[in-house]
Amino acid sequence: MSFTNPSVDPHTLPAAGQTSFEPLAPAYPWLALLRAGLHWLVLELVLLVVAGTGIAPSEVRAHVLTVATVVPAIAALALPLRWAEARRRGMAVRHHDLLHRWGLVWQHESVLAFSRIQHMELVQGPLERVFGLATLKCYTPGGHAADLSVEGLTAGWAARLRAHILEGAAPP
Amino acid sequence: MSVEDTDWQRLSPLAVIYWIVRIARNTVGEGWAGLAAVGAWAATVVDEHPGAVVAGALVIVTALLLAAVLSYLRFGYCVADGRLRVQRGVLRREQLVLDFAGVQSVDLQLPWYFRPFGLIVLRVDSAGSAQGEVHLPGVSLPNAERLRERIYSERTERPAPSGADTAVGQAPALLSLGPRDLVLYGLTNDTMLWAAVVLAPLARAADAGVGENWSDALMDSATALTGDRFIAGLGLFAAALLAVIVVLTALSVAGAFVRFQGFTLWRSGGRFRQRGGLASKEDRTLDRAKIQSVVCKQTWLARAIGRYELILRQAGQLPAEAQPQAAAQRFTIPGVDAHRTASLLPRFLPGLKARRMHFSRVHRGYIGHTLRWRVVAPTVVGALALSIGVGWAALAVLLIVPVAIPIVHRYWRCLGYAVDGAFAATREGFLGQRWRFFPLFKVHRIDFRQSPWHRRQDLVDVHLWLADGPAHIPCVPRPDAETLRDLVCYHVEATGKAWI
Repeated sequence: MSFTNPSVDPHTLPAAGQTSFEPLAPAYPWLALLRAGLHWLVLELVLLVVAGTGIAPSEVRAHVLTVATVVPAIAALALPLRWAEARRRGMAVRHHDLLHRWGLVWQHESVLAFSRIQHMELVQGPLERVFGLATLKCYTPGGHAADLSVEGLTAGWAARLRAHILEGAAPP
Repeated sequence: MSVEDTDWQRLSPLAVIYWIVRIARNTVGEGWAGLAAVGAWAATVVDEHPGAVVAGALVIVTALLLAAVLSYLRFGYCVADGRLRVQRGVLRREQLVLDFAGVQSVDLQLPWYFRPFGLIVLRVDSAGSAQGEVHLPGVSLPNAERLRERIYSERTERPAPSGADTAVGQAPALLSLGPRDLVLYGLTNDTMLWAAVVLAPLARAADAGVGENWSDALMDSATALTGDRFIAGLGLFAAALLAVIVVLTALSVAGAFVRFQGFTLWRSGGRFRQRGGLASKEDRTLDRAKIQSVVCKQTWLARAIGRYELILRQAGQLPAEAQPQAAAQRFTIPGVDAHRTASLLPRFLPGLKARRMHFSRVHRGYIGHTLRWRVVAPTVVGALALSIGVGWAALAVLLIVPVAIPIVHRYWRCLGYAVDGAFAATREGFLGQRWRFFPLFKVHRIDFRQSPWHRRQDLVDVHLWLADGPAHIPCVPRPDAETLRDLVCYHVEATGKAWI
């Protein structure tokens, strides 16, 4: 068997940086907002219950009440950021790989080759079902949290994407 | 008994010894706090109720033996249709099917307790998790070798590389380590030093527990000898330090002999095989195609004499610091000199030209960024928090900052990355150094991370995920990071090679 190893000019390769990201489903920012709002609401309710009942000593309750008054203000700042982050999220599908972008302050970009995906999961939680959305989770061997999870896809889009990846991940 | 039968097989009854040792080791390792409490209780009541202590000890020993016998009785295995099936567990029954195709390595261990019987432990390791690891204890050596060959030959439909079946004894050794190599390895291994740092507070606590009578007596004797209490104290401190260094060094050298005595490395076709060990012998094999990356380490002592430690990493193996209990199971080649390292690296990763690799430093902004967010910010917050309790004296904590500046600067000087042909490498360290070489096609995910500061500087933190853990390259100029990403994508997506 002859072995060849021609040199590759990296500047002539397809540039992932020039790929334009597609925004996720229009309903996704609202889902993200609702989820975040529920988290803040649960936190506020727990604080109010602790502050308003005799569970904790009175000096602790005073501090908890102070925190409970601050939490809505923090939530009022955090929720628009969460909404903006959800709007900024995006993905791009190329012939051999999947690109995913997320984060607002700390911004992340991931590229995952189809050939490196071991298995996939299509997940729909109760809230996602209400919004008609789904999450596609791609798992790679070895673990170490090296998996990619794309939220905010419409159910049909997620199913088509899974089929496309399975086709691309099939061995030659 | 043959390991190639298709019916469910039982192990040799002597395998009970394996479970006795394993359960005892796990009990001590995981339940040492409980055992210490029971021991302390026994010490306090042994004079008044010796019968109760003896009865308690008998109960513990009986429970251990019972657990070992039940584990043995409930263990069965079957080799058929390209699969190893195992059923195990006493309270929680478990059935495991290990496809030969998913097997990463098959190792033979000759533990000290099986030596008189000539039996070994066969360890079959699959990629990914500890749950996929199977131990077959008490197997005869010929049977174990037959099963190992069967697994290796059946797990792939591709023809085995020529010479794959060469017996180990017939293949020329790639590397043999003599006593001098092991002594040097033991002297340069800093594991014992770190152990001393961890154990020092415990030793202090023990010292406080014993009382200060003996140290006072020692001090009085030394003062009587020298005539000056200060000189006596200084002399005692120096003597204690020297004694600790000598003991730790001796332990480190002894540890090197225990683990690697008679170390030999062979190449047999596309497989590497190593054997070594004093009390328990290890016979470990590794397919070249399964190597995800090769780590080349030098402690600060090893740098002084030009010695390296090589670690061949496979899928699912976290770095030693994250998984210390599995460190002994790694394919490690200890204490090799620069010449032999240079000749071994291309054998593990064919095509790698490590000497030709030109390492680029990460952006200088790494120093300021690290100092701001990992040193100054936590130090200031810590100092302010402390000042509430102890007043302005807490601001002395801020002295950490000037101390950290040269440390971070030195770390930055060591940080680097290189790409040459189809390979990449990362470099890091402080006093010692650590290089990690890997083929680009083994990467399965590439992440870019940017904080607002990174975006202003047009820098990116790059994370290259391999099956044996991520390689981090911080503060890379964005254009360089994008070129690296495109090159990785090309190698990952254009290659049809087996990568795990």
